[in-house]
Amino acid sequence: MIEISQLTKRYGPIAAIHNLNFSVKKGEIVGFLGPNGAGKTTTMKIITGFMAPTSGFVKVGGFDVFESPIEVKKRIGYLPETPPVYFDMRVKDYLEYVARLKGLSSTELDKGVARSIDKANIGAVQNRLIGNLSKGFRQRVGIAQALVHNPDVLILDEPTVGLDPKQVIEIRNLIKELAGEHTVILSTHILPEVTATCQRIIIINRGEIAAEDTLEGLSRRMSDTRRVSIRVRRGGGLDSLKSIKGVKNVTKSIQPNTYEVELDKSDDSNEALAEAIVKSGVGLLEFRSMDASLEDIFLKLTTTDHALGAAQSLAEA
Amino acid sequence: MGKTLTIAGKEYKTYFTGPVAYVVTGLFVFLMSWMFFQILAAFAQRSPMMMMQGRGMSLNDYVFTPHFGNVNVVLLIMVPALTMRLFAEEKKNRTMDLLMTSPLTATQIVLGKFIAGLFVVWTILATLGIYPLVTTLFAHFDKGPILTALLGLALLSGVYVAIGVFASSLTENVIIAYFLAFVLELFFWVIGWASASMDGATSQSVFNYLSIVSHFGDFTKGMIDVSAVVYYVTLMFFFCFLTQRVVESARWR
Repeated sequence: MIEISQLTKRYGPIAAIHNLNFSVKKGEIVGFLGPNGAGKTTTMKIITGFMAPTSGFVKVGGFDVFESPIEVKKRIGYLPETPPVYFDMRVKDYLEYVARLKGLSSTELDKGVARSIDKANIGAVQNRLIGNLSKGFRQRVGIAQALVHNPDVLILDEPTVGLDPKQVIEIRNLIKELAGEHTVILSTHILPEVTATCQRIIIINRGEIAAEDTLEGLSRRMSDTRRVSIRVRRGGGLDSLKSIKGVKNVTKSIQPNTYEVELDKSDDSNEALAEAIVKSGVGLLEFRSMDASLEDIFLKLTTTDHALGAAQSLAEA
Repeated sequence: MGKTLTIAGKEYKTYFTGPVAYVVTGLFVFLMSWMFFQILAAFAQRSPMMMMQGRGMSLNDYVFTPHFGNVNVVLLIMVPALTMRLFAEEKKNRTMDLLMTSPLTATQIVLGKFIAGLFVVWTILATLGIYPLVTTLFAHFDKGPILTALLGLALLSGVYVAIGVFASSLTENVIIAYFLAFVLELFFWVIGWASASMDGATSQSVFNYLSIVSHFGDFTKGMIDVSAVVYYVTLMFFFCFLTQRVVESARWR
């Protein structure tokens, strides 16, 4: 559905994004993750045809964004960082205006507006002035605006910013609902959001793709060892665990009677470890996988060695 | 064309959903009425004296021509205030993102804005009909020059709107947009002054032709000069074209 090839965008001497390559299949939800200033918004603006890249090309639904921008824009719904709403318009009038701009005929118009109001759950405020709405409602009007012409592709730039926790969950569910029928690219720096909604993650850092995989794939890829946290009733005597095949290291945690075990990434060593602990009769209370969380991956991929070193020495101090 | 009118309609309505159009129209009518009354009063005072000397004064020459000249000055100041927000506000509020990512051409966006501005100004100018209508109740005068003068104002305000839209497209600051439009308009007023310092007859006539006001004079005398119409329409196209380039350039900057 979306094909991005060797995309580069320079602002003067600074490359905002450099040689970006990825593609998104129809119906996929892709999370675009990166620290501030990584080039997420720039990439999204280029996909929507808002700005042109310095080099490279973007194709949406087979159309080149620069050769046939009108065709591409018909197929895209875009929610920018700031919802593009007019404060002096009423919600429904605004959505009708957007629908007309997107080229909906008058018969499709009412249906499109009603559907987007329903999906973004803003029926209660549809006759109010947008300027009088709270930030969360404006954000939802922004989402409705992106949905009004039922586009194949949705580009959402930080869609849950400014929403309260209940609304955040609603919007995440809405995004998940859209999967299959629509192709969604959403950017965020909120990690749980990606875990909650996306099938695939593209981590972008300093204008380059740092990683691209499914969530599980990413966590698995990050290490060849597995870390397990163990809590027992009676401490001591767990040093013998070191002799079990596959176990690399056992360290005592700060919490009482809790140990962290590093072991080979195979189910065999996992099983052997669990069996050994139970047999030793120390009273197993907890056996928990400590696989790298998305946070760890994110930090690892987007933090330079220097910064990481500084963060570590800070933690040690 | 449909989308052009959608934008134009939305922009036109925006003037009237807020207080802008009402305040501007009200103040415009107030100012023009006061000016018209003063001119008329002076005319009423001087006319009998001139009659006694055997030189009759016409309402057209001594009331309506200066009146429409005043309108022109007021438009110069008023139109930039009406057009300044057309692009600058969209950029400031980031609603430009919506226009730029919708299936629209830059031409549609610019024409939509221009038409909206033009119709708002024309709506306000329609109030100028009051003065000749009221005057017909108690005096006779030639209606032809009034109509051509109104046509002249309609064209002239089109030029002002085009300049205003262009100025607005260059910045996201409405004050800069206002002042830029005002200076550009004023420049086209006084550009004819250069003819005084020119030696050659050709360069003199070129600068005279470029001046906005020199063309307006004919309209108040009841003449429709084709070269003046061509001049005004060309300026409108020129500034709309420049605006179209500015809007389009946002895509590749």
